[in-house]
Amino acid sequence: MRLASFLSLVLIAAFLFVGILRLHPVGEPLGNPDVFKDRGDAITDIKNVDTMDDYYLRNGQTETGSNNLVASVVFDYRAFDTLGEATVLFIVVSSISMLFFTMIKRKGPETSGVSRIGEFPGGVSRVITFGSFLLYILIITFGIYLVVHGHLSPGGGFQGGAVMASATALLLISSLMTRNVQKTKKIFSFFESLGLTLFIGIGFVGIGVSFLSNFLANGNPLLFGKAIAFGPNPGYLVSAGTLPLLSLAIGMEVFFGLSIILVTMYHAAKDE
Amino acid sequence: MTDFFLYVTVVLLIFFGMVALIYKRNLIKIVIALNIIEAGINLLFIALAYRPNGTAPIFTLAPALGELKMVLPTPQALILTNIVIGFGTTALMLTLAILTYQNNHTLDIRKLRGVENND
Repeated sequence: MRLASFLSLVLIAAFLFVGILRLHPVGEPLGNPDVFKDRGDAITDIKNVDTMDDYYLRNGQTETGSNNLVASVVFDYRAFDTLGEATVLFIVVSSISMLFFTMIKRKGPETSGVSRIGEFPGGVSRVITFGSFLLYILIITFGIYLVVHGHLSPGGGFQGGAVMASATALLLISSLMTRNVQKTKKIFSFFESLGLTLFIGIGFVGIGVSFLSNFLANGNPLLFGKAIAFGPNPGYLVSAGTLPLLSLAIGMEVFFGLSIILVTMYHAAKDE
Repeated sequence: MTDFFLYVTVVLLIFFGMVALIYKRNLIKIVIALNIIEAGINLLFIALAYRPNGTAPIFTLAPALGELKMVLPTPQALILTNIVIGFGTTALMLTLAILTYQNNHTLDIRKLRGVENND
């Protein structure tokens, strides 16, 4: 048995090393490294690119109106992938809630009701709770900034949601989120479902072209449709069409989903 | 040539993750092993997308078009979502480990021979 595992490890190592010998050298990916050089102010020339990534680099800004090309890939070109990943996250959150629900049920009625989270022996110092409250406001503000400016600067729904979920962890360990954990979870799960529903709903609004098509880009400036010039520029907050809306929906889903995971696991650990 | 060691790092991360996955008996350590493999895969994607002197694929505050070089955006987008998914799957695996411990009072996979009193 040990021989079999050792042989399988040797085989895995051999496959991995043969695999990296066939990869392209680091720093020389496929495509034209000077993809911006020969373009200038010319009109979008789709034929003059070799690879998909070069197409995104050359045309992503003018087509979607988003300065952040990663966001344009996540929420426009490959938004269907993002829908799948949001669904995976939703299923994970549902599974964790379900598993811990059965665990709490089995323990009997005395621990399944209102929890006793936060009743540390001796309580928590007021310095910790007040400082956590101040930090909570700052972290939430930063998270919202990341979500709203996802199409202009580094950020987006996933990162902003994760940042805001860390604020929930701060609330939990400083015992500010103490009362009525079941009610808190209900509110959180409502907003999580709302985020995913908004994402799918925005996808269906654009179904005249295709599912999740960016029907608002380069259109009405009042509806996130302000056109953007090619090249480095600060960009506009009301550009990029449906991209900020999808980013907001994903941010909502990630924030509340991760918060449900944190609250549930903390609840279960506390009841031990 | 020195850049090649980035790929070697990827292989070592995945390989050590596999070693831990096969030889470790504790469920928590198996979860950590899967996270190490995931880190190796993330590093592989970022290394595939790398260009020397390339900026992040964001036009805000980027250099002028003449000397502009950007790393490829698509692998970064994939890894961006993979990190959040990795968080979720890790939480799910840890949940299953907690439930396993509550049912069997052990995390050693060699002692998990089925549940005797399955009420």
